[in-house]
Amino acid sequence: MGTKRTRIGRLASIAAVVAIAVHSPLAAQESGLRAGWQPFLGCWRALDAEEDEGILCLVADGQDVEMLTIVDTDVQFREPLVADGGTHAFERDDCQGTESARFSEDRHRLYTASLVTCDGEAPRRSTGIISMPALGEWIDVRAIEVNGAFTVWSKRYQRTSHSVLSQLGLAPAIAQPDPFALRGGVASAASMITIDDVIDASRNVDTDAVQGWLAEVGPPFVGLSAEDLIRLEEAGVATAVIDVVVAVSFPEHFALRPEASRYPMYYSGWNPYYLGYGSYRRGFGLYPYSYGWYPGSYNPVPVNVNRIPGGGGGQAVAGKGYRRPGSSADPHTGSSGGSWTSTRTGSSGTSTTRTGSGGRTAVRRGGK
Amino acid sequence: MFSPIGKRRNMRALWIIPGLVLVAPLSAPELDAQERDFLLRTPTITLSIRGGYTVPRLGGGGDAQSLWDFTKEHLTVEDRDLAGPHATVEVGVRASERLDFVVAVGHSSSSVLSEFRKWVGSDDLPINQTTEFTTTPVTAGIKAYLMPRGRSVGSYAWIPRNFNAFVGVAGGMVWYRFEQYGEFVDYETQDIFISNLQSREKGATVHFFTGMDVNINERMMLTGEARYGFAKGQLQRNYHGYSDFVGFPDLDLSALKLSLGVGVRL
Repeated sequence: MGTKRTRIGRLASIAAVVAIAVHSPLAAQESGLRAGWQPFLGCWRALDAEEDEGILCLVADGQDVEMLTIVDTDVQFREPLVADGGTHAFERDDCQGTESARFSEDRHRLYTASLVTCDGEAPRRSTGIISMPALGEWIDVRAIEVNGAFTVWSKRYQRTSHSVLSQLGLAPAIAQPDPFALRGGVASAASMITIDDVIDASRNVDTDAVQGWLAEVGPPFVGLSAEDLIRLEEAGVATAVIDVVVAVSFPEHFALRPEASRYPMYYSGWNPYYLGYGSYRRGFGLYPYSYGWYPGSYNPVPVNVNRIPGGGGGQAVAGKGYRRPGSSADPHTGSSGGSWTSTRTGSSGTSTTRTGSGGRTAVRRGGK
Repeated sequence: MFSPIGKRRNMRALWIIPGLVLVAPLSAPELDAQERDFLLRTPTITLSIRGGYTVPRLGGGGDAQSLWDFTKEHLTVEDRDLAGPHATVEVGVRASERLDFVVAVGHSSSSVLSEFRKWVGSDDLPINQTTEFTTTPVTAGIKAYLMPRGRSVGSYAWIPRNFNAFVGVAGGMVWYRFEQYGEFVDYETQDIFISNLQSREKGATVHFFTGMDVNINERMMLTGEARYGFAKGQLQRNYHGYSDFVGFPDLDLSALKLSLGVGVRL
C-alpha cells in the first residue's frame, strides 16, 4: 500500500494536523483566510536569486493572499493569488487569458492552471503544482504547453525574514505567520507524498506537471508494492508518471535526467514565462499568466527516466576514485549545478537515504 | 611412430569414469562382441571439453589509468585474485589429415572479496566489496596437427596416433562482465556508500594456441592446451553515454589460458 511509506510522516503530521484542525479554522475564521494558505504567509527568497533581486512576500488578502515582490523596502509589484478554484480572466498589456488555482483536499498542494495568449505568439497553456516539500521551503512546478510541446520548470523558495513587512507596516496586520500556520508547514513537510496524492495530482494537472513535481520533491516511495502500481494504473495515472514513481523509489536503478532537446536554454537565469531574452525580472513570474517581478529563475526539471547501467549508481573515476550517486559531478542526478541538484541532494539528504551505509564515513588507515 | 594401443589398456582405467560419460552414449550402437582399439572409419568431428585456469594480463592503459590498475590501487586486489577457472567446449571439423576447423565457446570467471587499501570505516571496520570478472569468448579458427592424426588401414579401419601436438589460431568475439559491488568511499566526501558498478560489453579477440592430444582409447583422448588471447572491450555506456566507469581506456581482456580435458572422435 502506498500508505506504508507514509506511516512515519503521517504520525509526525497527525499531531500538527490535529492542532490545525482545532486551531487553524479558528485562525482562518478570524482572518477569513482560506485553509491552506497559512504555511505560505511570510517572505520567501528564491533559491538561486541574487541578493538585489529582492524577496517575495505572501500576505493575507481576504480569503486569499497577495504576492508582493519587495526589493529593499520597496514593493515593486503586487498581485493577488486567488485559490478559489474559479477561472479568472485577465488582460494585461498585450496578453490576455484565464487563470485558476485551488488547493487539494488535504491542503498540501495548490493546483494551478492558466491559458495565456499574447499578440503574435502561440497560446501558452500551463498547469502546475505548488507544494511544500520541506519545512520553510516551497516549490512551484509548472508544465507549459506551447504548440503541443510540454516543458517542465520549477522554482524553489526558502523562508526568509519578514522584517521588511514590519518596516512597510504590513506585518502586524497581515503578514505575521500564525504559529499554527507554521505547524501547518510542518505538517505539509512531514507528510510524504502518497500514492493517493499522485492519483489526485494526476486528476488535476497535466501528466508532465505531475512527473516534474515527483522528480522535484518525490522522495522514494518506501515499500512501493505491486498493489500500489496496480492502483495507480487502475486510477488512470499515466504510464510516464508511474515510471517516475518507480524511478524515484529505486534511484539505484534509474536516473532522472532532462532531455537536452527539450531545454535548449538549459542554464540558470532562463525564465520559461518570459517573452524573450533579457532581464527575467520582467518576465512572467510566480504566476505564469500574469506579469510580475519575481526574483530568481525557473530551472528545467528532469522528467526523463533512464535505466542506470549496473544498478547501484555511483561511478569509478580514473585517476581519482569512486564517487557516490548524487555527487556534484554525477550525471545520474544531473550535473547542471542548478538548484535542483544542489537542493535535492543537499537539503533533503535523499542520496544518503538511498545509498548510504548508515551514515558511515571513511578515515585513513592508521589515522594518517 | 605408432605404438600398440593395447599396451596402454591399463591406463584406460584411469579415465574410465569420465570416459563413460562421453563414450557410453556414443559407443553404444557400436558395441559388439569383440573389443577393438581402432575405429571403423576416419573420424570427421572432434568434440572436446576442457577445464583450466585463466590468467588475465590486466594490461595498463598507457597514459590513462586502466580499470585494472585503478582497482589494484584502491582495493586489496592483486593480479592473482583476478585469475580464475574456465571451461571450454570445442568442436573440430576435419578439413584434412592435419587440419581441423574449430569452433569454441568458453567461459572464465573470477571473484575476489576485497577492502579499501587506504581507508577504513569510522567504526574501524574494513570497507568491503567484491570484484567479479567473467569472459565468454566465442571463436572460430584452424587447428593444425604437427603429425598425421591417425592411420588408415585397408578400406575401413582407422588407427589413431597415441599422441600428437597441435598449434592453431582463432578469432571471434569475447563478451565480458566486470562488476564491483559492496561498499565504496566517495573520494570527495569520504562518505561510504553502497553501490553496484558494472560493465557488460564485448570486443573482438584473436588467440593463438598450442597443445597435445594423448589417446585414452581409440575414440577418446586427453587433450591439453595453452592459449593466449588478445582482446579489448569497451566499457559499457548506456544510450545517453553514461558509464559506471569514467575516464578509463578500453578494458584489456587478454589472457593466458591453460586447460586440460577430454576429447572424443566422432
